Amino acid sequence: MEAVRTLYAYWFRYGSPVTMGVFRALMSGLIFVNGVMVGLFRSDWVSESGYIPAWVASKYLDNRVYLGGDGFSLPRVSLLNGVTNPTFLFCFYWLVVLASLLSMLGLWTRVSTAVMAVGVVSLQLRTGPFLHGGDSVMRVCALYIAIAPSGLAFSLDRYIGLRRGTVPLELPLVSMWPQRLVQFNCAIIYFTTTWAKWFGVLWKSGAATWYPARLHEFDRFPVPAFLNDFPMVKVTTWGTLAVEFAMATLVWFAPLRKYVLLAGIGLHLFIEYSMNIPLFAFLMISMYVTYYEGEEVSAWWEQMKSRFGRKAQTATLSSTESVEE
Amino acid sequence: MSWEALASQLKFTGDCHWFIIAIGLLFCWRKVGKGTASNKKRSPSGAKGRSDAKSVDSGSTSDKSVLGESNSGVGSQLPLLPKIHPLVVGFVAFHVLAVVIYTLPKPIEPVLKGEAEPRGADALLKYNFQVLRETPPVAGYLLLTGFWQYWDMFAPEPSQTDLWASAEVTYLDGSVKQFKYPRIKDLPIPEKYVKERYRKFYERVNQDDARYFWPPFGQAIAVKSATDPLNPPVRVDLIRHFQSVVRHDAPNNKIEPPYTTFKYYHHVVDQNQLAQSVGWSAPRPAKFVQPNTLSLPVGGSIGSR
Repeated sequence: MEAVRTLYAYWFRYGSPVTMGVFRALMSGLIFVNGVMVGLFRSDWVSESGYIPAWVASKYLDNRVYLGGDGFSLPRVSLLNGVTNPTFLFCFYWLVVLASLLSMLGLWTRVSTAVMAVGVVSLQLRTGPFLHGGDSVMRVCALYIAIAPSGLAFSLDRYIGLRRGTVPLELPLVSMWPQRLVQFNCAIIYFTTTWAKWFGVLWKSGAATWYPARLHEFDRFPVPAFLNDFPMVKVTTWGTLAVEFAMATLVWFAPLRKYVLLAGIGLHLFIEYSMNIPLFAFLMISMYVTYYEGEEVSAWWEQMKSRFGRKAQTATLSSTESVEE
Repeated sequence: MSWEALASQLKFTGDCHWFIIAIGLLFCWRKVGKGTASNKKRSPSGAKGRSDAKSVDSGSTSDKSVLGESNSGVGSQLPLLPKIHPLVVGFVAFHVLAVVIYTLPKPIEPVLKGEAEPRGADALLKYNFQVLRETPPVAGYLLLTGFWQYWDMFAPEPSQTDLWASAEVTYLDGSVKQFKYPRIKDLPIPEKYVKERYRKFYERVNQDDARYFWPPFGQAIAVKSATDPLNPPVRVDLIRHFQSVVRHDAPNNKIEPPYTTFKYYHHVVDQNQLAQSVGWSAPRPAKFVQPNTLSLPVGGSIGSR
């Protein structure tokens, strides 16, 4: 019973909304960048004359979900179900990109995050064949951001409210369950992918990273040859498994949290450098912030401000002295 | 214009009610999700609502205020077990369970096909994959809301085939031009970054079990290749280039094999659709001219990947 109480307290206790504010800004920013990147070639991806016309999209990801054996079905949450009008598609696409920008800034957060979430889900159902893992991260996180009180901190809404005197200086406290859901989802990504890899002969034998390094369609920046040869292949293969497993388990153990997260950041940055998998590293790393409580993020911010504030002060003083000389 | 007319124009399928329900739910969750911890009640030193808030000097709004101040002192006065609406607790518990069930990996192929007796975790995974994962509450909830997810990055084995696409476009007058579908390897780094979607898309659509993609893929290439209404593209041949990575334990594993090239699909361009997509006033009658002899073999599969 005590364990249940502790678990309940951990998931639902009140705390600072700062972390969810920072997470909202990071994740929405990445969704915005992704929207602009895909938007450069929007006619190829979100139009009837492009590579994915509506009927192909709905054949790939069915717009209806069939429940039970009697053919009963419900439509998925999608505003683009069956839409082929190019003007509507154009306006809808850029409205979602705009909503993600506003969500990043924290302006009209309640509306902008909801529009972003429904928009991202709708667009992903419309463009199913080109989605990758990063898109799933964006979709799931956009929904978490929409259901969380993510505009209470680190937002223009708050800044404007403070200037107008319509919000209190001290932040309201919120139940932590939306933040816990993001943490949990981050951990489940690593846990299930590690488990799935464990079925692979190449992962167990320590040879798995030999192969992606030789897929030239993934080439990005040059990597020293020895990193893609044995014995380093074994190190990177088993190292990947170890870091991913730690990201699912040891990250919950406070004394190790920082080191596990640093290892995760190292893993993703190496992949980001060596392989052309756009934004995925940054999407995953942005989820890491949710492993810190809002109070910790605020304290870290204060620490940074005082450290760099002192430096700036020292620099100003020394330049004043040199002028006086 | 009436709503029905607009809906008809946009070819809506009558699913808008679902969107309205979704928006309503989002707002409800946010309302409940905020919890009930008002500063007025539990923070003797905190802001006391609007009256205190108004006293904030607008000119001195600091970064600290915008990011938020630490509430650790206040938080310590809160009860250990806050009262959260049972619906929220139930939702969170169900969501966690549903995501776990949906994301657990598939068992190994022999177990899945019934060729091997499942043991231990395999039995659990088989039951989960064949029964629990497909139950209406789990699949229905995740698929309907957008929370569906499955994580198998480079698992259970990383891909071992490098793959890219090209096409040959035959025009009405019999001339043949090469169509360059973006090949990521040959692009400068910034372009690689923004065009990666083309690689991912082709990885999916080239497969033999995704043949329904091929006609619209060919048609889209025809649209991109159409420049002259008097000489429209009439045929598109899709070409697959692939190379299997040399096994790590093979002798001479540093020597890369050449790419294999196969023409795998001929698409006869739909002239009506082409004219509509390009914006030409009327489709030209497609008087098919026998194209130049094509040098590449037709057919060929990479095999299942």
